[in-house]
Amino acid sequence: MQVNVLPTSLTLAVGSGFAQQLVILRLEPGKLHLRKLALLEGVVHALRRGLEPDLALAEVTAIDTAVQPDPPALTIAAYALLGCGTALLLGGGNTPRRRPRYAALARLRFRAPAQG
Amino acid sequence: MRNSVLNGPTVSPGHTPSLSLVISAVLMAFGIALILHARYRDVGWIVASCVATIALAHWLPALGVTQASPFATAFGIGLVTTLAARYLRIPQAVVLVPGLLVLVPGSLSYESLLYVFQADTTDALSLGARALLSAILIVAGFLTSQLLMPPLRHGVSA
Repeated sequence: MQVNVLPTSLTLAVGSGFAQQLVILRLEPGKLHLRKLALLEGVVHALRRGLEPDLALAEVTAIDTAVQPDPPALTIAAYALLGCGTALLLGGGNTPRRRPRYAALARLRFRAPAQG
Repeated sequence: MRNSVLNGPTVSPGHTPSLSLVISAVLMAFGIALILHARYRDVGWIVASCVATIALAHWLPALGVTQASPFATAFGIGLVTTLAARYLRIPQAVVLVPGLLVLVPGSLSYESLLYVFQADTTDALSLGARALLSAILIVAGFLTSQLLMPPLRHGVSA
């Protein structure tokens, strides 16, 4: 068996010589999911240690279906954390606050029409 | 009325205190861990990856490595990723993806776009070229690390 894997396609060649059968699967690119990747890598390690292919396939299906989408509030909080971190990294929050030089004079000018 | 966002002060990385760098790395790591749906046990590795990447990216220019800083940082993160996968059994994506996300020169692209809106095409092109060069250097650094220390691959008998 020969396997050629690309992010959006999967090509499998089964058999040898002129009796070889080719299967090409066109895949939709999915979102990056570290939990699924880590669990899948565990299945691959178990497969290399001698796990039965049927059990491995069942585990892969279970991994794909068991993961639930995050609630929107958690996603918003995650992007807020990421935004705060990026702002700090780019120097946000370090600018000294500028105070007006003639603040007292400005207050006097503001009050003058009210007294008149 | 002028748009204060497009004509305001630009970003200026490189003048950030060390404490802000550490806090920003931790915040970004938690954000990335939530967005990429990481396991709880992998959050520590994601934080370590982000802190190491930001530390390398900011300390290498201070040591004199300015132009090749993205290359050296990506090379270091690639080596650490392979070593962690080989000896600590940590999935490669857990260490590599947060490091690359932090390293991608988003601020340069952002600043380049700001200059485009301000009709300053010279600076916009200069920053755009720097962002493109940084992206190329990051990919080259990671590929070089994979070339020097490839991940272990065991064949599965069909």
